[in-house]
Amino acid sequence: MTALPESPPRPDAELVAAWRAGDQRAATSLVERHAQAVGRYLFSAGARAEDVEDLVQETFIRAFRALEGWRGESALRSWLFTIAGNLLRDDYRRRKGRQFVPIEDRDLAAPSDPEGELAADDAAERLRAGLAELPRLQREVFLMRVQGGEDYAAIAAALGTTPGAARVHYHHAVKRLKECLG
Amino acid sequence: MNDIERTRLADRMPRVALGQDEWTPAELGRVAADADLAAEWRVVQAAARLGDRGAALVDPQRVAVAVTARLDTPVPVSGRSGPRRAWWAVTGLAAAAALFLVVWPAVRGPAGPAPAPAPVAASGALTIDLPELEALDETSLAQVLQGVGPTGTGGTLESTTAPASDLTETELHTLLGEFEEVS
Repeated sequence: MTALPESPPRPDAELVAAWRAGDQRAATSLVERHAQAVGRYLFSAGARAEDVEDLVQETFIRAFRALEGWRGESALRSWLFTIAGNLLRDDYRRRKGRQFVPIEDRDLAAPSDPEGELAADDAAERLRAGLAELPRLQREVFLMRVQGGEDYAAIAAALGTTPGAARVHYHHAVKRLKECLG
Repeated sequence: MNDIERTRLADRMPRVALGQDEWTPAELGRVAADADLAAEWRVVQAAARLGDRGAALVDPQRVAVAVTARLDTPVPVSGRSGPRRAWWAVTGLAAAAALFLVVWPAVRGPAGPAPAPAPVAASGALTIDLPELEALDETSLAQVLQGVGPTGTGGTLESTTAPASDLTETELHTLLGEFEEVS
């Protein structure tokens, strides 16, 4: 018996429209599709490990309650990153500064190459510290590009800048992060 | 390797690091052989690894359940909106009273004694923009004007012995005081 071909995933815009029309499952699909990407973004941008999931949840709540603010020309994911970034800034203000928590052992997969893994973790941790020092736009463009896989046009639309400026921010960010990793 | 090729490889790095694209062995060799590209690739890989840690902290199903449950709950009305509305109402009433005192003598027309020439300041005040009143519907506006006139002057508007512009400063202060007590 041949398996039926899987239907292609519904585009975000279609799910958003379905949710607006009252389809609760559309909201579930959107959250399941983007939650981990938002978690990546938040953690890399400096969120504490124990806060990440709560911040992800809050990001979606704010997003669903402000869906009129999503101008379909930017990718939904980029828009979610923008909301997540704002939430994180609010969180920092409440805490009066940044607090970095080292990556916890429980988060690590069992290493097949312990020395290599340690070196890679060290690089990731230094990168995280470097990201915290970047100007906001450089950090957001870099993370949207590297962790969201977004192109410059989508990033520019989400951040209210131009694709050319987004590219410049990205290159400045990379240059400074290269120095962090030495 | 020329700049175009270097840019092309650099532009693909995020997608490769995210597993959405792959290097060919030749491309990988070129990236490794170029110091700048190799350093950028290390940055992108470290960022992707960092992101994996973040992703591992999130259970999408659990978040979806929590989000949909919260979306079903009505949003509580902000505690500040009540007092804020009351403040605008008070401001609106006060503005309406002030406007009335300035405008009434002008619209009262020939029923009373010939009005004294309106002071420049008063005629200027006729153009004051009062956005607070725009929010009121016709009934509320009528109530405001009704409330201002008779109670503020201690009788009907027609019974006022002189237009407000004829009052002395002291009388005007007394009148405003009465109005404020009432409102």
